[in-house]
Amino acid sequence: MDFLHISQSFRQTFAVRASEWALSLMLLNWSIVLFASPELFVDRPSYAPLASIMKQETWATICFVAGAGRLIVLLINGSWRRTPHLRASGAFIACFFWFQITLGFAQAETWATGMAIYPVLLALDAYNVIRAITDAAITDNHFKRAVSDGPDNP
Amino acid sequence: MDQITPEFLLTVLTGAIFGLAALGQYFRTKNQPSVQAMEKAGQYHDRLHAEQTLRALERVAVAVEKIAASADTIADRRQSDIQDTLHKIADHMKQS
Repeated sequence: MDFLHISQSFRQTFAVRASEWALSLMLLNWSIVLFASPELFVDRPSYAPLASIMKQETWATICFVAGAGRLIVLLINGSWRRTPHLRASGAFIACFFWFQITLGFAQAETWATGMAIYPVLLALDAYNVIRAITDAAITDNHFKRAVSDGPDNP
Repeated sequence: MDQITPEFLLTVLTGAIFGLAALGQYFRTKNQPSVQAMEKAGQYHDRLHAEQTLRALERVAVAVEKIAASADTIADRRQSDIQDTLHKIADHMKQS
């Protein structure tokens, strides 16, 4: 892995993966907010579905790992071999968060503005999963062909 | 996890269905080599543009025939002009 590759890869792929970068950053920001406001799950009923699964601190830690991990995967993309599999996994995990949050907001007596945002984020990350998994299949095909052709005929 | 709630079960079910859909997409793309996709695209392109290409070729052929006819006319004219000029020179030479 070298800085030149990362810089080049970032400039080449950012335009088409802007949504993945944004959603990863949102997940990371989520963990920061959860760490910064420890009583959030207690104060707001919208977070009840999340609270029923895990404690707020656990959610914050998982959000941090998932968000930061996804950002790192996007950053080092292709240093050793193109890895859209990890991009797909990251987006899939993020879908879980968006789905839970959407469920929480949907169950509230009065819908908050979150209902206008989180379902869209869920749909966007679902789209990212499909796109990344398609990339993964194409990459695997190229890799398989390169291996069967040998090093002289890439 | 404190307890398994209906929301959590709904999440797991939706995740499982979506995960299967994503895996389906993966294998569908993997079993469709890019060469086949390119061939299909090529065939579609050929079918789509075959008639237009034929018409264009016909127009080009007609234009070439016209150019050939024009070239013949120009050549004839020049030939007759040269012959006239030669006759004039010959007449002038005879007179002189």
